[in-house]
Amino acid sequence: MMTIDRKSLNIVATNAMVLALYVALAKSGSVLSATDTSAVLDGAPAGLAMAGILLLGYRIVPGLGLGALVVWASTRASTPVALVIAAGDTLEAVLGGWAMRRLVGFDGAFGRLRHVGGLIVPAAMMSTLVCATIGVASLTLGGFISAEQSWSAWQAWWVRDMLDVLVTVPVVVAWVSVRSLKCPASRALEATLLGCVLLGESATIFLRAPVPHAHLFQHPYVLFLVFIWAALRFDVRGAATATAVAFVFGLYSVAHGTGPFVRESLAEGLLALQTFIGCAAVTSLVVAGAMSDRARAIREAHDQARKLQVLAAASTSFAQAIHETGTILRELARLCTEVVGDSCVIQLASDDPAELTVAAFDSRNRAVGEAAETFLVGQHALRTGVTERVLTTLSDVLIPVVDAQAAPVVSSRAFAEFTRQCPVYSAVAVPLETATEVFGVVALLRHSARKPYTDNELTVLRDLADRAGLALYNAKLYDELRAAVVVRDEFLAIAGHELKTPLAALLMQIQSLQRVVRNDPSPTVRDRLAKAARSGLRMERLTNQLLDVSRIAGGKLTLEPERLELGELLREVAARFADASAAAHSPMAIKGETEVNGYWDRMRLDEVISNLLSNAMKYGQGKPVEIDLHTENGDAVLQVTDHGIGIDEAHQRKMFQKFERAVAVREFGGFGLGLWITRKIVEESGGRIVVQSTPGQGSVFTVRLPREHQHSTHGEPHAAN
Amino acid sequence: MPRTDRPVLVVDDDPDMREALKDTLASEGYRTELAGDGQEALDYIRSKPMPSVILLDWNMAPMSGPQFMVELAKERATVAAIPVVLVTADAKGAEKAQCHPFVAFLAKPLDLDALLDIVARYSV
Repeated sequence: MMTIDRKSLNIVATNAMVLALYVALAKSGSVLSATDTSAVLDGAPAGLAMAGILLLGYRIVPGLGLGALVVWASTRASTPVALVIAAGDTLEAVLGGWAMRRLVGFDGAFGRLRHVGGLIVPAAMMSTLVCATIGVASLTLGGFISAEQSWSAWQAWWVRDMLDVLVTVPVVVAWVSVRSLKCPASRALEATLLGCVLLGESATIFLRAPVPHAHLFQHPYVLFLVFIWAALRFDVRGAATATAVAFVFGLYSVAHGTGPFVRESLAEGLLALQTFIGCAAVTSLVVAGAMSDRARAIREAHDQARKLQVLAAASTSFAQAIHETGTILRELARLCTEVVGDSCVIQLASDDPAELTVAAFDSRNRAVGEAAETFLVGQHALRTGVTERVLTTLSDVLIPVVDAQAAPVVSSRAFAEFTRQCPVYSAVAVPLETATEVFGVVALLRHSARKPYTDNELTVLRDLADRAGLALYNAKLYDELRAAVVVRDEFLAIAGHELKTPLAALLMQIQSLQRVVRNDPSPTVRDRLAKAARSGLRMERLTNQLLDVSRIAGGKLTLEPERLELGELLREVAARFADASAAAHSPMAIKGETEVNGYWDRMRLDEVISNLLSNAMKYGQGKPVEIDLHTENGDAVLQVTDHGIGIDEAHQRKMFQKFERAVAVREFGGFGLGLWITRKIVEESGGRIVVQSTPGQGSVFTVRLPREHQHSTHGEPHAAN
Repeated sequence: MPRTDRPVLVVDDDPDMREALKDTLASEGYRTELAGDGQEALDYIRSKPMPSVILLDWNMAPMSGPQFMVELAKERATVAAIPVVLVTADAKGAEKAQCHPFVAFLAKPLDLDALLDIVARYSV
């Protein structure tokens, strides 16, 4: 059953139009050749026929063939000859079109030098050669022209067709594909100027009487300058138009006996003109083609540079401490969309090994992105097909053309719905991995059929996914680190607390016993109990340090300031160290002001002073310890000086850190927390603590405290040397 | 020399602490009775002669110090009036002492002199 559908009607109609146009043009062109009987040529529109094939495709071949046949049949050539020549004409157009499409990849516009090359050699020179040869051979063999005429006839035919193609095809193609004539005013101005110069110069050259001495502007070669201007500034369209305009002027001039191409015969003159225009056309087209190539290269270089910039920015933004997984994934989706496009979907592995969760989605098209985000993100998808392949083989998957039958990139109903509204033509997927695990799959989707994903784009996606993977790994490490610190501090708190209870009972027993034997004549028990008590007190201090550390680290150091006289507190604490001082043979001397009033937390300052004195005793090597208290600029200043082992500079910088001691672990006991706690208390009170020390000569610790302090300012302790 | 007939009631969940307090007070001549948590203390008070003063720990189970204070307030007047000293290792002891009618507050580890001072004051 023969069905007449739209497509067939379309083809038939097109062919009919082509046929009509062909015949009309041929007949009108024949006016030229009618005056010269040395060649029976009809102005078959070779150029237009080839342009037709390029623009409309091979479907117009019937129309072309019929048209050629009609034209040749109406000449005095016999029917078989007409048939052959018509076939030759059609073949010329088809060959030229084929050569342009297949050999140089012509796609509807002269965007590259290659296209121009394809026009010049295979199209304008080779296919016309075929046609001219067939035509002249048939005519000669058929006896319609003599053998001596055949050479010049062939030459004329070939050059005529060649010119026709060279001039007509670019002009028609360039103007047919014009979308809009909008351009900046400066450009319009330049075009107008160019047009005026072209017209003026063409008139000057071609419309003058053929006198032997022409002035400068009447030399035809001046037109080359105009053509090159057109090619440089207005690409192939400009070059082709300029050439065509000049050609028209030229044809007129030859037909009417004016201008520089008047020769003995019309045919010679025509040949001279065609040669000139041919060379001009080739020159300007080549320049225009080269300019197009250059512009394209510059555009691509800019694109590459921009992409590199975005990638560098991506690295920076990932490198900044983004700790939140969701943020990293959203940033990745955004970057992928921006650098490569069109849409990006990130699926994460979940506890269920057969399922994935859509974690992020972004799209260059705002509307697509917002719509998809609401019903895609957070949804579950099956782990099959593309995602299964990516996750098990950990390889990249590039699908330049998506097959409707194959498994989609996201196996979920919601995604199927999404693809119904926004079809996916091309896809690429890579695994998202960190150093220790496979996180999920990042996939890009393209919503237009004209730009399938390339290996280059796969590489870019791979790069972005790698950077994101690093950031995710860092985020995970950071979280683990924080959790570990919290666990540690909690443990310290618990440990401190647990130790306090038996310690309280122990100390109570010792103190109670001390009371019982206080009047005992023998000092033995008393002394031993005193030593036990000292050990117990030391243990109490250490336990308090543990508790303090966890409290301070947890941000729970709250001061309870009260009216306090520092001199009195100092003397009180020093008295507690009297025993230790005697035992270490390290006399303590208090000097300076006896009364310094302020508003401080008594218990905490007690701790600070105890720490400093205890350190002085411990590292003092039995030398005297001086304690100086005075005021300076309204601040209270406490200095503890010992003449013991001192601290070297490297340690001075670190000694106020947690767990840091300036001496070997085994030598002087303790947790190494004392100075850190001291520093924290001092800073929380708005003050500063510094150390000056020379190894082997001793150390001076200086604490400066404002008398009253509302908010804490945090300064870094430093070693002043 | 025993000071008074009425004992000091020591309420603490740590057995070593109870013993230490008992020994300490004993060598100063005080009689002590021991309880492991608030409930035991309540049982003692309801069934035995009234103690002169109660040394009360804060964190205990099943009945804690504050819970004991709430129950104590519901007893008859003479019982509710027994002086109670809060003894706790917690640094926020002073704050906690304010919520209930404690007569004094002692921080662990105990200052022996302070302890004996307070017990002497209230045991008459």
